Amino acid sequence: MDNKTLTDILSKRLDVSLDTVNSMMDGLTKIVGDSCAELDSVALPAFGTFEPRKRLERVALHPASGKRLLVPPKIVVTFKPSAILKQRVRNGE
Amino acid sequence: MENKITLPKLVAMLALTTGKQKKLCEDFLRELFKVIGDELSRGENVRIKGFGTFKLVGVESRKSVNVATGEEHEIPGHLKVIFVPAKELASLANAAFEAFEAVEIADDLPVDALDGEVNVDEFEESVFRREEKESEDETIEDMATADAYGAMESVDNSADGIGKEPEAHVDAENLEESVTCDESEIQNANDVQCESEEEGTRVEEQSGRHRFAWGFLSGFLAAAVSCGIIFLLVYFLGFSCGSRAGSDSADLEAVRNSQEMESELSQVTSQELEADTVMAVGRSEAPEGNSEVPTNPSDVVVYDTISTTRYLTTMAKEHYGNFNLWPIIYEENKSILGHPDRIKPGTAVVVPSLKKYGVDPKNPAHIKEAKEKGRAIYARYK
Repeated sequence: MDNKTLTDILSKRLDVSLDTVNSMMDGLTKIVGDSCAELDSVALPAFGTFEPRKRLERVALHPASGKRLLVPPKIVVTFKPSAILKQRVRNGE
Repeated sequence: MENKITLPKLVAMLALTTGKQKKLCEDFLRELFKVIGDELSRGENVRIKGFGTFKLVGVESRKSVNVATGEEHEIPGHLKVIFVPAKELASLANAAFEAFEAVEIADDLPVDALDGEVNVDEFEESVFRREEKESEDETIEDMATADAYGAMESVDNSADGIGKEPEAHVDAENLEESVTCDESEIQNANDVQCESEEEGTRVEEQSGRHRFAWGFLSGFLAAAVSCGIIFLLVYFLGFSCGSRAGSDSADLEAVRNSQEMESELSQVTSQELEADTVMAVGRSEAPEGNSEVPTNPSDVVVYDTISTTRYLTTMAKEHYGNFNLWPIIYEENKSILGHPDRIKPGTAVVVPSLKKYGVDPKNPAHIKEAKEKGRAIYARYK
């Protein structure tokens, strides 16, 4: 399912305009991103948790030139599906 | 930090950022994740613009052992959900470290300097010590330069009196006189010129104030010397049929001719120029005897130019009769060539004689050798 279909369904079910849905989606992205930047995780019941993970700096080899690179540390967003979602996906409903 | 944001908190934050009612926000979040969950359980991927993609990935069945009973059983294959954050979300989360870029590490840096906190501390300490040392050095240097400046100034004052008049003018006049007299005298005058030049350089070192003037003058001298050489060459081409015995007197004549021509120029410059042409005569007289001897046909240097349709192999085929001999041309010109396949069109190369390398294009052993050499050249650029 792509973004267009999803926003269409949401605007129909909530009975709001497509713009409203889009702005709320942007707001959600911003909140999840900002809280992950502060290392706070966002938990959603019956769905899962968005968790920030710290990745340490590391030395990697450049695949083309073979030079050693010092890759800086970073924070990545991971998603941990809840047990309910896992079960639903496994069973195929 | 390390907090868990629950649904009510998330609803409040969303209401604050979007300015919508809390009720709507809560409905939105519930509906959104319900739709996503439904879609995933139906076996479909969900892509949200700016947020990320929820993907389903198959897990193959595998055998496992029950730790308590030791019984083997098989875990059946199934689907699992993975989330790939979009660029926007990833950069938002990584805002703190986004300014950093991957840095190349110098090859000589030891690996243990990078891992382990103790080593890092030591490294920092050594850097700090080095900085301290540098600052000390700087202060010492400052003092030294200050002293040197004092000394320089005193030298300047004394040197100004002596070296104010550039010696070149005087020498030029001396030389002009000597030209009309004899060749031996020219030689002497040249010696004098050399000495005075040395003196001049000494003065230059001391004062440094006439540096610009001397730089200009030396450039002028070089230009004039080359002019003299060209003139001499033209002269010899024109009069090469004349006897060698009369060449010395002819030399003088040539010099006089040049003097006449140049006397039309302004006074000072002509003096300098004449001095230089005389110098040129003096210098070029020594190799002049040799320059006409080595014109054997075998030693003629052949030049060729690389173009988009002329490669080293083309040249080797043309000049040697076998394209495999291109490494010979490459080796002769390796100082100006890089990768043999990336030579810029327009590059002029010297095509050496095969005798120089003792290679016979009809000898298969030599061809094999050349092929190996070509492989070695390519290996340099791997």
